[in-house]
Amino acid sequence: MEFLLKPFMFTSDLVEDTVEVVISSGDLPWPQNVILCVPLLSSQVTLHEQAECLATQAFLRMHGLNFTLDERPNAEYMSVTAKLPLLKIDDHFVAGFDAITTYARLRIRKQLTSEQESAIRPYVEMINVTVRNAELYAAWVDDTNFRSVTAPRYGSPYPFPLNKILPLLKRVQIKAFLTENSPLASMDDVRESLNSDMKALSERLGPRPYFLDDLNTNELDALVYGHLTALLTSKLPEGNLTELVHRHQNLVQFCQRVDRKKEMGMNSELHTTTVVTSMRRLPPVVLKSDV
Amino acid sequence: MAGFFEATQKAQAEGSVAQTLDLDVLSGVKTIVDKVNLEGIGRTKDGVLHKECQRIFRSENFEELILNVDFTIKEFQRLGLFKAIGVLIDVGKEPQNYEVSFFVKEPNQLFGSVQTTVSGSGDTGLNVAVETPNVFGSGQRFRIEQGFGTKTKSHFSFSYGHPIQLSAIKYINAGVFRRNFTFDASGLFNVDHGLSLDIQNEVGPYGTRHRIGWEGSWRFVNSFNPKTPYEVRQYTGHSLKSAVINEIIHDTRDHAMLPEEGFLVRVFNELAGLGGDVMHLKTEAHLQMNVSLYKSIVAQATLGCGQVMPFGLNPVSISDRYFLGGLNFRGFTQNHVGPHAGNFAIGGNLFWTSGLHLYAPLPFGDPYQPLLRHIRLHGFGNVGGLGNAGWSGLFSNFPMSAGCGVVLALGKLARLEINFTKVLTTTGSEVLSPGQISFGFGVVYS
Amino acid sequence: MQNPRHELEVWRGDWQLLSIDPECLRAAAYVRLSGAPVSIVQNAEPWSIVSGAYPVLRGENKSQISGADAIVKRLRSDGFRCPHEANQMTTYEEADAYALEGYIKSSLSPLLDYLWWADEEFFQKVAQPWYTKELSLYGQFVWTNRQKKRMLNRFMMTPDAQISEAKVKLFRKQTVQKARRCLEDLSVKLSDKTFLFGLQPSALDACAFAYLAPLFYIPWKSKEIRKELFMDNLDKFKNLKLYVDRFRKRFMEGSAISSVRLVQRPVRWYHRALEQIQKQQDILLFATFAIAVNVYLLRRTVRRLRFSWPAFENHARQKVQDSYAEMAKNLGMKAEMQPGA
Repeated sequence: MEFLLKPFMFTSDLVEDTVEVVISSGDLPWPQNVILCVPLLSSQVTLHEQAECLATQAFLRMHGLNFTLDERPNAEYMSVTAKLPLLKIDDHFVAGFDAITTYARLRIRKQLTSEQESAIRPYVEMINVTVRNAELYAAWVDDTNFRSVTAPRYGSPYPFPLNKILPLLKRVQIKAFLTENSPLASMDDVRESLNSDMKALSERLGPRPYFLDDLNTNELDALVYGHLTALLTSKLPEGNLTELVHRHQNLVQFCQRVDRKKEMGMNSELHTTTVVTSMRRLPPVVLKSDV
Repeated sequence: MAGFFEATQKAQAEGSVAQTLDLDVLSGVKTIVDKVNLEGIGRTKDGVLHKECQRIFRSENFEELILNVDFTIKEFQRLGLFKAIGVLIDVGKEPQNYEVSFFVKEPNQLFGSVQTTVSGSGDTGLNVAVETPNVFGSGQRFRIEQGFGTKTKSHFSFSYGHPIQLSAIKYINAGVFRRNFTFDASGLFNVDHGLSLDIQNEVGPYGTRHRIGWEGSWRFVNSFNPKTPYEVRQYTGHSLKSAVINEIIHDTRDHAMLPEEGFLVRVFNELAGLGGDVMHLKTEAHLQMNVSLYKSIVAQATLGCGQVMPFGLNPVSISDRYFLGGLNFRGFTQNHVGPHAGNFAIGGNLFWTSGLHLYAPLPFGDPYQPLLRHIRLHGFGNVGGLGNAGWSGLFSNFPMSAGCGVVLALGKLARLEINFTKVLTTTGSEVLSPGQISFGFGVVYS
Repeated sequence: MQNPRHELEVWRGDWQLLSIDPECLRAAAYVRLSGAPVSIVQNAEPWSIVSGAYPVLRGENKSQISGADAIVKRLRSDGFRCPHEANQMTTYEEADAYALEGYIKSSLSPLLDYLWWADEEFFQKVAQPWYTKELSLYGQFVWTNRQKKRMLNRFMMTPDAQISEAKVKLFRKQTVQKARRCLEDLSVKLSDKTFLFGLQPSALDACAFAYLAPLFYIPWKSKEIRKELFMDNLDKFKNLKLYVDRFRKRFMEGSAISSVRLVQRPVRWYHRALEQIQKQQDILLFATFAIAVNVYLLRRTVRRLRFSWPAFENHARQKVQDSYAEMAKNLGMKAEMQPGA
């Protein structure tokens, strides 16, 4: 949508800037009124967004950090850096899975050692780049998938003719991005790429419960869980992506295991509430200074 | 009228006694107009000319003739048919027959204008407009306008106006526009693309302007300020508005920006909801009365109120809400009156404002000199309220300000003020103007 | 079996490197590591390639495979493997190798692109003269500028709705941070081993070498990036630098490099002028435009003036006559009309 927007300030999700924000918020514990803003999960969200949102929720829940889920149709515009999901904590915003996890770790002071980090970073990168590009291609560039699933979903909160125009505009942007930044040229390429990624993940996981540590989970677990669940539950007709995941049973079992751990985290004393709104726009949050 | 005066001058030059002719006497002079000549017609079509000139043929006496000719010239000007009109009333072949000749010059095919603007929030702008008057020969006009501003406010519009039934006062306009502007107070910017279709008319003896039409626009709101709070961010995104508009303006003032007499009534209604996802009913009314007390000292009272009522479950979008501050509520920063989230204004569904002014000329010079006519000193009081939660709240606790300053009117287009204001009461949620001296520029004031 | 007449065509290299393009280096390094009988050929004409298709493995019957991934896959399937892979590669290591290859590529390639194309100082002082030496006119003027624009556009692209002015600055920061993390990870993984997986090299080493070597060998200019990358500690990635040196000395030198099909251009007298023109082309364009507009306006004015010259002259004449007449009246004399006075 570049042509609609004018260039404006851009907030970063770099580690240094995140650190600044955390330090400035002092040594405060995780507050009570944290909001995680996502698109409408049941009707609007597309494949890679769903993966990221699931991954973030899983990460936060597994570490027992409570939040309120707020589903909004304009979530991608509400986000400060246009990344999803958006976390509102105290009075600042953090957007995107990487930034949120970095921020959360800094805030609750539970960081990984540098060996652990260098062990999982290549895989995190692989998922963030190759798997995400494959998901983008499968959902947006492939004609059948786009017309039958992605476009109706993406345009569902809007009235005619916006529900036809907006998906097309987004598709143009994504296509331009993919032609420059990824070698995928057809659904077969997508399947091949996803296949190698799944194989690598499966081999790395092996028979162990989680990727790094037998007891604790980390970003990689959350991210893999998010993307795999999104792929397993995707309704895209072309590509048969679900089958690719089913080829590696240890990955399917891994997803179920993380699911159970999430539930456990949810039933801890810090409960999470979900606010689901399926209207086009939401009622305003009531302010104290309302006349 | 040129012909008449030429005749007098010729008589004087030849040494004969100038005959002073009274207009009263003229009404006794019977006339039959047997010819109306129009010279210099190029692309103007016959239909509209015939219609306008019928009036002249109907003149019974000389006074009527002169008045009708005058009226016709005004109609031509209103329709934008010609850029220069000269008229000659000459005697015809037989007695009591007169011939009226119009010497006209049609305007160029294109007529452009460049205009620079400065606004109170520091934005400077440039407006370039290209108009083709009288493009198909009967007063139709195309207009393309493009404006730029430093704060990336810009707009582009392309419109076509067609007179209805060849009348000068009824126009049907169709346009396409694109608008780009920022809500600085809320940290948002807005991009609109839209179409509009309306009919403009003037009714009544005093030229009450009436506009009724439809406007459809695709609006995109996004935030450029990372500090914009969550409550304001929820209005970002795309929306589609399809609205029917009705506007009535009755303006008997003598000057739009520094009036000395007359009053203005403006009523505006908008019903959005037939198509699109924006559904509301917006009503607004403004009243301004001016009374000249003594010479050029003028008292002015203004009153305005408005309400946006949403239908359905969606709240009113921030592009449709009301904001007060700046020139319509002096003492407060532009758009910063009313409910806020942090430092960011969210506007309100209801507003009312009232103002009382006393204008006085500068203590030196003649107040009606061309330069000094546009400068006045004024003392004012502003009061008003903006909110979301119902009228009673607005009338129980509202901000007030008073002060004095200098007003400079830029032609009839805009108004520049430098004021010393003191805020008397405030509800605590407004943002006051920094410092005591504030500077305001705009078109809408109260 | 492979015919020794197979050729791997790569971009031309400099500064002790076989090629300036990391993907080409990777293919060449794999060829060397696996001992495949392929000769390496350097090329420098940009119009003879489809962009992104280098490196190219040309077979005997005009068959060609382009792209490092495809070449490596083909060589591997033909039986040419790196020593480590042939012997003892665990599934863990395979998974790691796959992930790391993607990681290195996606972390270091943007940085290399940025340093080559977007750093103005480097581009003008090193890259452009380098192209000028090797490329023909088309290559210099048209192709390099087009590539540069394309690269800069690529930096601005994201699959989401964000766009900003400050993105260029932020992009640099992000790229450098990503690259630094990658270097740190590689450094940790390598520690003090000979190769990334131990004593024997593997395809991952080819990839690592291909992306690290340009970073260390090409004389980049940007001091800020060097500072941010190395965090004021030039010894930070010393093990990586030694590793790259080792690899190069052991595998990348040798006689099997032939430079054919280079367009050798003799330096002509107009090259200096062309260089100057290229540097100042913005000013030249503006000057040409301004002159053209002025000439056009001047023509119109002259044409107009030409037609009013007589009126102008008459007017002046009339004024002179009037002043004479007044003078005469004041002196009580009769004015005489003097034609053409």
